[in-house]
Amino acid sequence: MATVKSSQINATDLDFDDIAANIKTYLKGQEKFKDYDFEGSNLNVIIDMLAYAGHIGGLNTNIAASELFLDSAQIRKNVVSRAKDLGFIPASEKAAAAQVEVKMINIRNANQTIPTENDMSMPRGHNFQTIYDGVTYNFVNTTTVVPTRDNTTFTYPTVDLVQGQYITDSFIFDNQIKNSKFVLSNARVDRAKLEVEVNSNGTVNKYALSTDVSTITSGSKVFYAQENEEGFIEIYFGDDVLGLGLKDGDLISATYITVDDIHADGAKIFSMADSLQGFSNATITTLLNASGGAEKEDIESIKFKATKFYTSQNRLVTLNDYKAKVSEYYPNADAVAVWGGEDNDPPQYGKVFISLKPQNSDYLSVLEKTEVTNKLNQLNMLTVRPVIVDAEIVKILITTVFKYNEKETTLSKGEVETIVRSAIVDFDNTNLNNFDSIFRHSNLVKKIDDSNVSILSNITNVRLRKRKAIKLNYSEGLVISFGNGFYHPNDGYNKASGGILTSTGFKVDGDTTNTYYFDDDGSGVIRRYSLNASGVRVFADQSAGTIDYATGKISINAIKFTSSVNNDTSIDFTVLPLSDDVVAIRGSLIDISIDDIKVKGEVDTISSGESSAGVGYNSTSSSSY
Amino acid sequence: MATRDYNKTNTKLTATKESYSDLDILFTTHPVSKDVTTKKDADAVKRSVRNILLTNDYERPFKPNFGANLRGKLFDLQGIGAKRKIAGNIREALYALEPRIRNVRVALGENNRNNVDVLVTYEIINGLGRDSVDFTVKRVR
Repeated sequence: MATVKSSQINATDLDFDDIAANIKTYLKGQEKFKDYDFEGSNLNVIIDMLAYAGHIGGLNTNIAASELFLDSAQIRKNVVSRAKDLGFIPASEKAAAAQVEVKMINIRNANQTIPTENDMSMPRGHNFQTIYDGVTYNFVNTTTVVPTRDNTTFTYPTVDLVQGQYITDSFIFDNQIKNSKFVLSNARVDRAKLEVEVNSNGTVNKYALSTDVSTITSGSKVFYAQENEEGFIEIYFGDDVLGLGLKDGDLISATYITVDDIHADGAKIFSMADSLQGFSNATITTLLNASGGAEKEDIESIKFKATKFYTSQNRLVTLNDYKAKVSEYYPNADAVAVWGGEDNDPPQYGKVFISLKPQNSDYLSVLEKTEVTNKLNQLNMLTVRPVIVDAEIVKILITTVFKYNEKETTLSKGEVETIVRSAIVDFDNTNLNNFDSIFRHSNLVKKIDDSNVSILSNITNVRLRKRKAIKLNYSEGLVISFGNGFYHPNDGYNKASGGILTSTGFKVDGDTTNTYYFDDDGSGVIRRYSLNASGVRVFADQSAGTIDYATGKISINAIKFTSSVNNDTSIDFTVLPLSDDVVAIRGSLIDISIDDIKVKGEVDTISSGESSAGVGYNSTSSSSY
Repeated sequence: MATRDYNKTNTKLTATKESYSDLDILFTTHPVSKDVTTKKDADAVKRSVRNILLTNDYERPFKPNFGANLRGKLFDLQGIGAKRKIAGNIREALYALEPRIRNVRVALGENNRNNVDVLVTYEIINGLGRDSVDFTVKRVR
């Protein structure tokens, strides 16, 4: 048979054709079978089979090897398993939560007696409904609430609601089965709201979800929860060393919230779906809008966080420790920024500041802030206090005027304008809306130019706007820091027309008639003015504050506001920045204000052949807005 | 002038040498050498032609178009010129996949109940003469 040693076969290739070619090369070294190079030969059938087996074997080995490592694994169950090696358990789905006050009036029994508070207590799992974007979603309350009573009026001051339904799964512990794990029957479960009770010989004990193994003793009533290979949550119990073990025949009840496919984040009008003791006449006041609904952690997020989690080792020392822990405690975060109190403006020693940007809104609710802070305090160093602050959002206002050649497109001007607007929105989604991001003006200009073949050029101007919440009827000063310098070419710049600052309107104490605004005098002083019937500025305060053009900081002296034009009791400050590139500092987010994008298309008269030699050609100012 | 080596020993005496040799796909044992039997020359080419003709599309791994796909064409027999088309396909497949033959002639018998008799004759290029393959193609089910 073959006279060439098998060691001479090149066995490193994985592609079918390469393997087949290597076998043929090997067969060239022998005399007996010469037909290896003819496609129809029997030998070629054998070669194809060998090459196919080699190829599939190599492919499978490659895939299997890739799945062994966190960086290269692609199948979720393997990524979860690798992360488990690092002690990281991926976040489950999270149900949206809201808080309401419920008031029930004229409550009398059929015999006209008034029921007691205990009679009217609202049990856990009581159903509520909300209609959001035309779809009805179910919410349930998470704890039994006993109302306060005022004659026939029953008030439930704080009712915590979560989106979904309560389900209870029951299991029996069998000590014949080693390492028994109990898989919940629903795939979409909020693990944080999972409650487990064990009935052991008639004694019912509540077990807590284990989060920190260092605090667990042999008697701790804890259970462990993790995602299994099918993506379902499985629970298991201690071994009498790390947590109390169960006894044969113990009855396990796992009660959990099933998470809806669509999260009703932002829902703010709720109604009672179930009657309470036959009464359903309820007035519901929303204290906290629904928020915090999230999908289970995706593969990329697990890969990113697992290593950070391992580095932080369940302690909070460095800024990255805080970032990793906050991401774990609040997996719904789009972005997290952390900075030490010494870097704050003004410095506040002994604190660490955390800013979070939730996925579906700009700010965290008070409930969510408290929840995250409480969890951080359990791991925090004694002398350092974590403070969660709202992300300061600097909105970028875009005005663009583009020239286009109408002979290069069949689209109308309005359609091209829509394309440009979409390009700007896409740029925002891709590049901004994150901490540590930079708005690069030239990149946006290029994106607009490239958005349609007919577009020849564009002039895109930028303004910055920041919204500051105010307290009504309370004398206070305001500090608004943009983190980016302001345009200030010379002292007294644009003094007559209000410098580079504009604001939305407000009213102040002692004047119920006039609506006031802020501007600057081009020399670092902020003025407060109203407009008379002719639209001319009438200054009420020539030194209402200061503006630092170099650092981008506006300081308003103490003033008592009584109302604001903005519905949410705030004032918008809009400025002209020094640079068209805008950077986000500390807890700032920069974001293009989609509602304020102004797009205007103009036919390029030279390219379209309407005019020549530049006669009648209009250019847009690069500093107009 | 080169010196002739009159003492040179004859190491190998070969009257004729096989041009083609292939495995026997039946893997029968040679009665004397106990090795796997081989197909040689015209037999090897014949087996190759038969393999090509009886292979359907997608049968060979990573070679979806290998073969004449005859069984796949059984449904088309009733069409006008179908036989001519099949004969053309056979010739095309053999010329593309079997470089050892030329002058391929294809004769198709009358089709009966989705069977068709095929006779392919060809000339082997290295002077081994004409040979033929005949077989019946029928539906598997």
